[in-house]
Amino acid sequence: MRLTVTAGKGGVGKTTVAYNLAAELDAVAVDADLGMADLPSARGPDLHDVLAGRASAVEAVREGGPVAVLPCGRSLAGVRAADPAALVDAVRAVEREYGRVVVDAPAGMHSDAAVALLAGQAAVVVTRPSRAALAGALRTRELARAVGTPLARVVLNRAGRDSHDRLASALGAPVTAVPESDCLAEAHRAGQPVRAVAPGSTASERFTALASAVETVLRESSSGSLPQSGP
Amino acid sequence: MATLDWQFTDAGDATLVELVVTSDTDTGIELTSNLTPVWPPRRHSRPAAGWNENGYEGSVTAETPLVLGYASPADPVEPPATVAATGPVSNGRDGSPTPEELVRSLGEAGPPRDAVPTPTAPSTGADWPSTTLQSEESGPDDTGVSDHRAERSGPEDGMGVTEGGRATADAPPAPAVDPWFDALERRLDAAERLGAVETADEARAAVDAVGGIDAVRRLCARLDADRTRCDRLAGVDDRLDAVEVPLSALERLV
Repeated sequence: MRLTVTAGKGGVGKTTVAYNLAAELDAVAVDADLGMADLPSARGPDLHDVLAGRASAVEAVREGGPVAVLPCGRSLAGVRAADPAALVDAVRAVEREYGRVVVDAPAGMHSDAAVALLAGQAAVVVTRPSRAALAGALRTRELARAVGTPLARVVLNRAGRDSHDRLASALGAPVTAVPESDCLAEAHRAGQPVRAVAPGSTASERFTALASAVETVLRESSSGSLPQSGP
Repeated sequence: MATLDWQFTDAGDATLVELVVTSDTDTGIELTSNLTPVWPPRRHSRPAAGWNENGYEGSVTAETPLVLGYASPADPVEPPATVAATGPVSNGRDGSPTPEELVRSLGEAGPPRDAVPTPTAPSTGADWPSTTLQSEESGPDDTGVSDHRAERSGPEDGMGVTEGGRATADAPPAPAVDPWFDALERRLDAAERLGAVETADEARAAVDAVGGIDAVRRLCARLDADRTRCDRLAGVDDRLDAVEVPLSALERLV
């Protein structure tokens, strides 16, 4: 099972969603944001090394934390040395070993974002209720369509109480709304998934529901009944 | 049936090959270069669509000739390539694009080569000074990180030449000059064979072996360029023999 969490624009909470989804799905979170890595890092081989052919993807996975992570390096030289096209094979290698992978994709419309989408069997697009974030989400939906990766869910972070029907209709996938909350911020600071910090919170429940919905979509996808993303 | 027309341009260290493939039917073609290695045209650091280490695979229509161009450090050979028709062209393709196609069409998000400081690390074989920026920016984890992509792509990158055709300063020197030495030795072999002819028949045979009298003229021009370069090398050679870095003294001082 390979799921890509993506966003058209940075700063919308994509990494938070990827990390929490990986916790819910008991998956390895792969930090594929090659230039702006955000998932917890550690010493040792990272995704830059994997994509430069200096380490295997499986040996770069860190299992010590609350969520198994394949971290990404932070150096410019590392980004330069990494071959973005090698990500698909790396993600498949992690899937073969661990079964489930959540890819935290970079924002934007470059090939690194597209290859991260290609690495997933389905995508979750994260956005926020702002004009710029929604425009980014639409662009990413188009990129996913061009790559051929179906859109499983839209996550609306910092959601208000309004109806999200229009957003779901515009993006062509059901919307999971995650309201702004202190426990999310606290979990982020502690480097923990929100279910570990605030198990009964709304945010935690939404991530559980999101994981369950995504699993259903991926099951349907593997049985061949899932349509391509969007109308 | 696909036919080939060609033209050479001498670009100093490299031969530029222009090819025009025509066919009276729509057909897929496989083109194999007789000049090796092939330095294909590049898009976003990748060989352009259809190019591989041996040549090109693509299609040509009856209406429009296929025009191709590539470079090679080798001397011109007549013909520069062989073309084989591979049958009807399959229209449309299904399935997803490949990662390589995505990178080629959308471009890389990474920093350009010039923006990345050159690290110094034993594993890279780079033994000349790097900028201080690198040591300030990189943590202990980053030692040993170099632009391995240039090394990994190996022959595709040719003599450390970027897609802009400019030699890269940070590529290790050996791969950059080795193909030139190999080509020089081949030119010298050919020139010596030409110089050793004694009869008219031998002369004709030797000229034919090189590829005609035009090829001999090109060879002479290349040898002139080689002499200029080797004069410069001779100067470096003397200095290389004479120079000695007082390493142990310097190590004690710093």
